Amino acid sequence: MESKRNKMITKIIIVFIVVIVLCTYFSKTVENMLLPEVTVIQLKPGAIGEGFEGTGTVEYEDTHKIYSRQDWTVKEIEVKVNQNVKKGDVLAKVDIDQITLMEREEEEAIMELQDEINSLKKAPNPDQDKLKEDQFKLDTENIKYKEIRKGLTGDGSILSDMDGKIVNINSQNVGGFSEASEGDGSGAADSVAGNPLFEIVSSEPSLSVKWTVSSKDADEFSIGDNVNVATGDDDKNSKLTVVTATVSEKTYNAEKDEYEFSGIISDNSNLKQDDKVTVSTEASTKRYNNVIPKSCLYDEDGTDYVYEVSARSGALGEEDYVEKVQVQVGASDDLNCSIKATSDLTKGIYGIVSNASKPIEDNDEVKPIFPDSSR
Amino acid sequence: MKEKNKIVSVLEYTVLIIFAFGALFPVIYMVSNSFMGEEEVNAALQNFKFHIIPDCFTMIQYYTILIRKPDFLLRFWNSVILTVPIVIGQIGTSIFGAYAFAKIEFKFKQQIFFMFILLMIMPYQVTLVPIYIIMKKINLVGSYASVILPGIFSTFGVFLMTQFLKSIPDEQCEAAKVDGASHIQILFKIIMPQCRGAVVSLAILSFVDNWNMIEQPLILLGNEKQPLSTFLSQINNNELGMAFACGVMFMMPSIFVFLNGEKQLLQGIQHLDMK
Repeated sequence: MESKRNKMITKIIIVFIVVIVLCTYFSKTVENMLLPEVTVIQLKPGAIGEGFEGTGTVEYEDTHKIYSRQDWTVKEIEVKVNQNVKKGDVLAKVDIDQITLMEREEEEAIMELQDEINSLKKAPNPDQDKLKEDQFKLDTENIKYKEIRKGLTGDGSILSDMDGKIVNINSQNVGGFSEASEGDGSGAADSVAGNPLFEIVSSEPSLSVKWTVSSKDADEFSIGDNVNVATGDDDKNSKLTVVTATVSEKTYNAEKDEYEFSGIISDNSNLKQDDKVTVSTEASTKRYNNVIPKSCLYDEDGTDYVYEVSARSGALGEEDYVEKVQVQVGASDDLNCSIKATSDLTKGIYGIVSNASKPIEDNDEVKPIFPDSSR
Repeated sequence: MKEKNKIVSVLEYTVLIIFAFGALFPVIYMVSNSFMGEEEVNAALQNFKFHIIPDCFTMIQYYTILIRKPDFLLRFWNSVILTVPIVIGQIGTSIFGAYAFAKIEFKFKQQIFFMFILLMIMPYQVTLVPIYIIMKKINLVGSYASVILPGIFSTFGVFLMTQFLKSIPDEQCEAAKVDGASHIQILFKIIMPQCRGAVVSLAILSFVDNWNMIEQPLILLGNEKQPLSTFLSQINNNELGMAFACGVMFMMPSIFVFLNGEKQLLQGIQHLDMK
């Protein structure tokens, strides 16, 4: 009787240990299998309606470039990007000793040629061909001599030749001076002859937006069309601004099978070069701050809901769960709609459920999947 | 006279049954509630009802803690990692200590043994601060070793084994000595085979004690390494059904250990009593 009891206890202990070990080993797998997988999307500003939407970059329409005439050694850059300059302001200083050396070398070459020409002229039977050749060389050296100081002042300064704003300092051509605040000359760098050193725009520059679209969507835009240029997409909290641009250029890139468009922006007060903007056709004029796919909406007795995904401290550790939030649907099209929520939809949540592998209810624990961004 | 005895007997049994029920009620309540759904448990509590028999028998709480919440299992293994080395270590140190006190004559033996008993009757919290300081000095705070190392050296274990070893006749050890046996040989070949019961009872008592420990892990371990004993208190009021299931799972190992060595434990306690 005693032994039978002991055997039974031993069996129960073994079963208990096996259950615990198996559960531990497979718990994560089982948990992943059982929880509904939900695709989570973020609330984004966007347009509602028919039309096309793409991403573009803002550029200055006309820029004035100041080139490096010779292979200069730039010692100091006196301006910064976005700094306003006036005509005659010093932009940079080059190594004047190097310029002087170049001038002297040229002077020496000119003097040598001059002597050679003089001695040829004094000869009883001057070689006319040689004389002509030397005269040509002399003229060339004279031109070279004049070119050495072109674009520079006497002390080796590069001056601005217009009023405006510095929009680019060509860091490749001025070596270490990517942004010119250095004035100690410690980072002298060589510029390459013929390359632009500075780009200046007028005080009220005109801006253009450039964007590309695939050849199948290219029909959405034609030269002369007005398009909407919207900023503020990248940052949820930034204010959404929309301006109009007129399509001015349309070129086909055969290599990529896409069209490159350029449009002149009418009101550029809030834009600057390299801003990323959303370009859309005028049909989708109205833009909204909270746009979601219609698949996010759940209808219950005529009331619309969305499920937002949050994290909470459960009895046994942190868990992700869904919370049902009532929303009011504003504008909508076939795919998307804009929503207004009774509570704040952007604070403390991971996003909104756009798709669930199993039916979900309020407060259900879920396994969120973030398709395009990590948490 | 016979009738009077019968009445006394009935009264005795009634009192005993009431006490037994009082002792067992929390366990019965916990086990029965662990087989109820969360809503049923909460409804009963809100209405101040002692609800013993489930309206709807369910294993959902066990399913949740064993399948859907890996955290419970991690805490369970934390408890195992802490308890098993302590039990094994405690048996080792207690046997050696007890042999010294019971079978070897040395100076100040009685005084040192008295200090052991003094330490044994002191609450654990008294030694907790020095232990924390020592562990911090040797950079062990936050590791399992900070709980395991102090746990191995138990005064109660030494006391229990000493009492048991005293019951083994000294003549056996003397005879072994005459035959040329060393202390180690005497311990392992003469003493150990006779004190299996005491070792098992020490193992059971030590296991239960350390399985239920609260203060040491709370002070010496980080959140990730907390055992089940501290984890149960973290379950909030809204998930009491789960707390009941966790409680049942938590007491299972102690019950198994007890049932497996019940006989030896009783023998060990009897020995202690005898002395």
